[in-house]
Amino acid sequence: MSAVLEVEGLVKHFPIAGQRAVVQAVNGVGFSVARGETLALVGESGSGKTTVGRCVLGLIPRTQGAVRFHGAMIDKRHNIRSRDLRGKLQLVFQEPAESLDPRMRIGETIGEPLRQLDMAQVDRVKRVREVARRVGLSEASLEQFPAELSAGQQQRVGIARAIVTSPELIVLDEPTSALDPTARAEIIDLLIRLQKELDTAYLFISHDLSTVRYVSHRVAVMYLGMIVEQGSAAEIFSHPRHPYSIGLLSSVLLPNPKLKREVRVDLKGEIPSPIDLPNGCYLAGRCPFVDEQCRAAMPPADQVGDGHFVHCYHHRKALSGQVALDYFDDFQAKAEQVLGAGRR
Amino acid sequence: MRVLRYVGKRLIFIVPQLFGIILVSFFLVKLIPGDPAVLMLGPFATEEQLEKLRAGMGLQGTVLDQFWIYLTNLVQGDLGTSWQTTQPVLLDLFQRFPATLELITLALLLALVIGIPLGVAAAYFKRSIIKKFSDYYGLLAGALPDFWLGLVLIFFFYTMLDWVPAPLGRLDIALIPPPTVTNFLLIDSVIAGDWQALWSALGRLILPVVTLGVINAGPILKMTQSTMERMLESDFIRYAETCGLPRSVVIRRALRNSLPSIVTIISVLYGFLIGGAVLVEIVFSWGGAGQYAVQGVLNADINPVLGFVLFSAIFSLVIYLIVDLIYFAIDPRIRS
Repeated sequence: MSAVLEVEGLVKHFPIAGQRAVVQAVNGVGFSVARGETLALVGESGSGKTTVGRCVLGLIPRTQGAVRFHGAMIDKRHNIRSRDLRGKLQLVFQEPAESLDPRMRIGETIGEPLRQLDMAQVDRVKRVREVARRVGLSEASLEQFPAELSAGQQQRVGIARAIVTSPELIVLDEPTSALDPTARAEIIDLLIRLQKELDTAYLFISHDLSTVRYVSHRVAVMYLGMIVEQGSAAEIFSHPRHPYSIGLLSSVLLPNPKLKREVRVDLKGEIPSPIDLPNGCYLAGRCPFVDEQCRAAMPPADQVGDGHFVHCYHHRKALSGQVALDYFDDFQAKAEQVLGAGRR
Repeated sequence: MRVLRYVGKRLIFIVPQLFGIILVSFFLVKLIPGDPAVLMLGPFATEEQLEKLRAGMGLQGTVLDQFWIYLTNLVQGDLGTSWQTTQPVLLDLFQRFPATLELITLALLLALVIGIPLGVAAAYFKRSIIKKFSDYYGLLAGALPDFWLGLVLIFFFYTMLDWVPAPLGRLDIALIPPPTVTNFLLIDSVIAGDWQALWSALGRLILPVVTLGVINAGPILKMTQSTMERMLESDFIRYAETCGLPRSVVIRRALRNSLPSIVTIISVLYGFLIGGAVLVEIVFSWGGAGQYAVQGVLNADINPVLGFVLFSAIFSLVIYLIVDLIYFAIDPRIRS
């Protein structure tokens, strides 16, 4: 599989007005996404996921590093707005209601990305109809305004607008977190189906692990602007190695309270300020496995499997300390049952 | 059809609204001390003469009786007489209200022409000199009293440069006013084909219109800027930008979504200016409705005050109705 998107050593610092200090939002992030593949960026709010998404599209300039789309550099000049990339990169927002112009009819909204693509009016209308059918929007809704649709339908519009240009990469920024569980299941189902049909690469940004488990092929766990662990979804969800990943997974609310849950890693304390990051491992202040080594220097990436990296000195200890996160397999089965209920 | 029914319903509601306004203003005006009968007849009048005059003016009996008399007259289209002008208030207002309306309408148009483009530019070019300028403009327009600006303008453009006519009313005293049709001087002189009068009226409008326009552009500018800033940061505008749409289209989209708030502030200003322009009217001896009402208040001449309140209320209610209809047109969310 050839990589659609490659990100290397991405750093993004935001200046603070009137101060010399900066917010270190992203601190050296690297990953790649292949055709038809979904990479999930997960982490708490403030971990820098959304900033990574914006840098990838070239919407904000980065401080350091490289972002390549099919080998071509993306930056301030050459980005999602540029003529040659227009329509190949797309994005879907978190809040469907806010991402649609309230004064534009749905059909017009879906056709918007085509306006700058030298497409005849007739073809545009045809294409909009086709895409609307694909995402499950009725012909009549094309004449409606966003306020007349439910949140789930609105997000379908957001997705239709993204796929209308047949993009190669879609950045989905928390596309389901504003939806109720039924609508969420339907949207996830739609995204998976569309990916199979169109072979699009997804960069799926989310804090909702149960959703991520269901849609992603690979997972990158972010903490304070760093990917602390990256690997296949199956690996990460069944055998997380980084204490932070373990902690994050133990905090998932299981849909069935009868499912056993043993909290293995209890992350204490607050996230350090991204303005004043510690020297060593960013998790040192909260981690139960911490020692002097952790406080002295950031652990380098340790490859523990095919495409599975972890930034931790003690990941073996962390792994052996757990009996096996079998409960998550249970959870997965349950989740699929629950999510499956929304499928046709 | 739905719009018509909506308008009908709103018009029916205007009647109780007006009644409430008359009720409140009548009793409030009654709180102003001073007996018009005494003022009119002077200190040497006898008690009998005073009593007779009060009866003639509908001022005998309790306040409630007086209110009833006022209401019954009002229903017959009689707003009473002003003892200062010795004319029926209705006639006075028909002469003066258009003077004020002409002034504030043009002033508001000027304020729009200044405020909206400046607000849009300041919101779009966030780190530019335009943004700085508009910040200072908003501050100054909010801080400077309009009558003061009027006096300064008169000093420069009349006293020193002599570019504009004297600030003495709406028309050159030497000119015969065009025959009255609407009492809007500009319209009447066009109807009469009296270009000399039109020219004179326009010349005299310049300074007061600039005064009010420059000051009232402030709130419009601020509202436009803040709403536009919010819109430009919204996801749907960001998305339009990622589609590579030209700047003009993006700005138009954002402005279209900002319009409801801008229209609201304009309607509020319009209603406010009827009375709010009074100091500028005085500075320019405009002879408008606000000036008329203030004279009434100062001289215990109640009928003009009540008449003015009634006229302003009707005007404001009509403006609000029009604004609601504009919302109807520009915001699809209300339509559905």
